Amino acid sequence: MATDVIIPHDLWEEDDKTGSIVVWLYRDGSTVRQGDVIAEVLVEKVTLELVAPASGVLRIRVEPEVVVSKGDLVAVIE
Amino acid sequence: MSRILTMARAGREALDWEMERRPEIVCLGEDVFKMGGIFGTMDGFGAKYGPERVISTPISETGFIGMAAGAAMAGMHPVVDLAYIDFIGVCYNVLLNCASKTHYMSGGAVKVPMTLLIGTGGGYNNAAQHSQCLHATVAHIPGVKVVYPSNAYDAKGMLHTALRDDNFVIYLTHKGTAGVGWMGPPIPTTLAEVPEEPYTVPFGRVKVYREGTDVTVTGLGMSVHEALKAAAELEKEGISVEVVDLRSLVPLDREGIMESVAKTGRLVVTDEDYLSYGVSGEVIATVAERDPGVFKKPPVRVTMPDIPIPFSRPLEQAVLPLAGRIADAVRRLMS
Repeated sequence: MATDVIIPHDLWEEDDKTGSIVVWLYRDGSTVRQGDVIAEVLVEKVTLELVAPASGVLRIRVEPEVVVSKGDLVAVIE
Repeated sequence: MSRILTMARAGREALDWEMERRPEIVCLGEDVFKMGGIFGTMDGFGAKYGPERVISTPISETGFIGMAAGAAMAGMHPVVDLAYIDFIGVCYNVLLNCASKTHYMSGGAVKVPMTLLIGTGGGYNNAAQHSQCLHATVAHIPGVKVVYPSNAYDAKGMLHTALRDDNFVIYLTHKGTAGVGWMGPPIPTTLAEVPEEPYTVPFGRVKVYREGTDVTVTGLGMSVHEALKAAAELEKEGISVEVVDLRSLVPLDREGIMESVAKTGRLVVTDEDYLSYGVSGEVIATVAERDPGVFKKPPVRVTMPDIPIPFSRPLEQAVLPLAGRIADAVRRLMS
């Protein structure tokens, strides 16, 4: 079973703003635990934390510096 | 487990661990209660530890550095966020004559356990008063230890070491290496796998990032990462570069420097601090005093020239000791 890692709709306020992953804090294929901070997301010079929604093996789908919006799938946890 | 951290997160983890266990540790600095310091080293600490232990100070470095030194002498362990090293001028009497000398002047009776966190360096168009390194200016003061980690593993381990030191430690971080969002994406070679449990990295040992046989390039802070870029480029040309991170200025691992140069016989010293009267000259003197016979060619310095750092991006880029200048210096030594 896999869980999608989505940019949460409440990660930042304004819906029309975009951000980007600054850094993944685990390598692709690493084991992560639910609640771990797995990436930093930058929105207008503010760094926000992306938290693992489940435990399992992280499969990164979006590399750093690619523009992301709320609701975008950026990784999968298997 | 292969958790990767930025230097900023790694430092925060060390300070948080020590604060949880040691009530004598208090944090001071401008906006630290709400904002957590320029690198976020104290991020969230205001809410977690409260205003008695995480103290936002007025914009008076003179005042709060003096307050910290006094608190340290009275048994606390203050951790002070001084933001930029360019502001250190107004703190100088405390650094020069109080925090660094009281242990000696009191015959060892009074300790000054205090950790000063300072951001250094340029490369982001912040002009001549917010881009300086000035690490030689503090390393010149007898009685203070000065360390300068360049990656997340060392950032955590060296901060644990600093926080457990009985006396004054200045802990420098080049702004461009910290991995904070406002400086852009982190430099990959600053990121490292960092254990969740605490560990210490001892002061006074160089770190060989990359072994090589033709030329030694020493660096510290950001210049380590520029040296690594240059080394990768030079490898394609068949030149083998050894990249040595000084990482601790006081104490300085002079034997570690000598060991590398004795092997390669060629030395390029990179330093984002000013050229004259600084660390670059100290590194060369270290080798020359031990055995100038190891030099196959005269050593070369690649540093910030002795000028105010330009605001203009093209001009600033031209004076920074970037990978291209380092690679050119290495090529000249090999020709």
